[in-house]
Amino acid sequence: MNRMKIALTKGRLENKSIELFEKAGIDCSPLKQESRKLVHELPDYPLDVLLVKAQDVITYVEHGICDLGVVGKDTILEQGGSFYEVLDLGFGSCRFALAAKEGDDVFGKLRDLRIATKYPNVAKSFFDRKGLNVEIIRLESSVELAPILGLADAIVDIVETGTTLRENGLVPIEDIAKLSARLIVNIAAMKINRGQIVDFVERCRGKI
Amino acid sequence: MKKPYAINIPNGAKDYLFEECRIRREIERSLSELFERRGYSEVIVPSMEYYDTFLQSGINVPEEEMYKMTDRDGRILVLRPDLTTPIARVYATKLRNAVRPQRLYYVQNVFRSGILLKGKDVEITQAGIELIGANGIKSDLEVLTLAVEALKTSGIKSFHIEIGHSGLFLALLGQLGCGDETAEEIRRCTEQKNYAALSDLIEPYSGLSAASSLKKLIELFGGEEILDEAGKLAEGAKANLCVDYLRELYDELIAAGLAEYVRFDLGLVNEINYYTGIVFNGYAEGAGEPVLTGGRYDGLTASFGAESPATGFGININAVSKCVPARPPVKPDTIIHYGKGRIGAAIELQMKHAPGSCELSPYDDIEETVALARKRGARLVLVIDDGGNISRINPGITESSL
Repeated sequence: MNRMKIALTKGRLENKSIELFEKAGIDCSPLKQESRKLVHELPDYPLDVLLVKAQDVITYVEHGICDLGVVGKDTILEQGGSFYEVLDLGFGSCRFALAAKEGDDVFGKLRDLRIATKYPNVAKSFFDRKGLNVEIIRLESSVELAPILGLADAIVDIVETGTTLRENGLVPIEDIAKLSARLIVNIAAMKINRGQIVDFVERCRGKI
Repeated sequence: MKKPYAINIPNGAKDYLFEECRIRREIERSLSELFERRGYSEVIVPSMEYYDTFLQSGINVPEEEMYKMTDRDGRILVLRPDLTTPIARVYATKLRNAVRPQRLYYVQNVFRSGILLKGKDVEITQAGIELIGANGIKSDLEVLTLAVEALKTSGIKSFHIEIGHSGLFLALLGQLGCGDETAEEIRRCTEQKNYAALSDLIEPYSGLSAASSLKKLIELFGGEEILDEAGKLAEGAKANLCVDYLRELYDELIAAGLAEYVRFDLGLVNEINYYTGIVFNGYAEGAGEPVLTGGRYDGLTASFGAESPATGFGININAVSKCVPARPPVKPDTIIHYGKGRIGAAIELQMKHAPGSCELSPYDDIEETVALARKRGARLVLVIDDGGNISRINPGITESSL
């Protein structure tokens, strides 16, 4: 039997994924020990687990280095790629939203809007669909600062509860997409290793 | 000042040296020979074509993936991103009055400007065939059996071909009666096997039996048993015809002794606007992407003004060459040192050796020739002196000098 490889997004999604796999009857004990190892072999199930950053999950799966991956829909929407997106795992749930300063009439402006975001592709395609030309400014941290300090008219960002927005005087104007963790599969692996992949997917599906 | 771009090559472009070349050329040669034997004739089309040609064909290559430049008149040219389109153009312009069917093959490169730093090749060699001007099961069968044989010939150890039918998906979609935008969303979710998003999309149509069939389609990939399940889903004459057709094909493939290489994927719906009948992909152990793609595209030549049924496939040589087991490199075993007026004899002797195993020494000094033999790891130096006498020198290879 071949061993499958799965790339997990480090951090919160990783812990939630492990929780789910354990519920599905897969012993993940090697993952719970403190260690600097980057590849973990599971004892009772033919699965090797890699822990990497979200963007790299897609890269590993697209190239077929990993058969499976767990990654947020936010990364999938931003990065794109060709793979099967077989399960919505339910956890890590939040949304992409457009937000601006409270009381600001963003769509009422005559000039092109400036939008600050960590997700330029998501922001661009959102405004493209509306037929609006905007200037997108990529930021790497605390996007909420941009409208407050006058760098941008609005932001496109991940919103969970909206607390951060509120505390900074911003309000969500429009939802762009619902987000959560997804199980993705390499296209060729799904075909070549069908039995094993389907077994894993079904185990997870049953416990979401 | 030294310019860095003077010695580097563009992102995603590649140099291939020695063994990689040999493997690729061997695959190309054996495929060309196979295609010739099966009655296909080679065509070579230009690397550059008008951008309009690819717009007209409706091929599913995003604009930003095509390399563009302009000709002297300011018209937009592209490095061809695909070969089926130029072949259809050739057929429609030069072969439209030729006897049907036409069997054409090509071994050429396509160019796709990918996203930077994703590790994707921007120049891919494709070997493929197109059978133009023939309809019906025999032409599909001819192309499918050739696809299997081609992958066998290429030296891949473990592979299979998955067949689908664009008509089944379109028939079910038609029964749904949704708008174009939703239809495209449904297609994309089916292509990505995104069950969750598909369920949401189809929710408003849940009263229709076609809706549940479309949802089921995602899971319908695997062996022959898939066809039984598909038979249960397919309602309406059109959908049923597609499933019956796949079964008929499968029976013929069994009779041809090829059943072990064939599976089905009824959720194969990429480029659905392009394919008009069967679609198929080849998958190989060791490749993370399909190594072969093909199908029936009866509308393509019509977009160039000559209506004709057509079916074909292309093999991604870059992907295939990575699945083929590595072979030991050919090393020079013999070095020939020759005297004045003896180059003719030296070449005659060299030509008796296996390709790559014998090298002429460029030196006048025999010591230098022996030193070269040692560095190369050659076992023998053949000396042809000025008088034409041949003697042998053992360069005395020791383990450490290897």
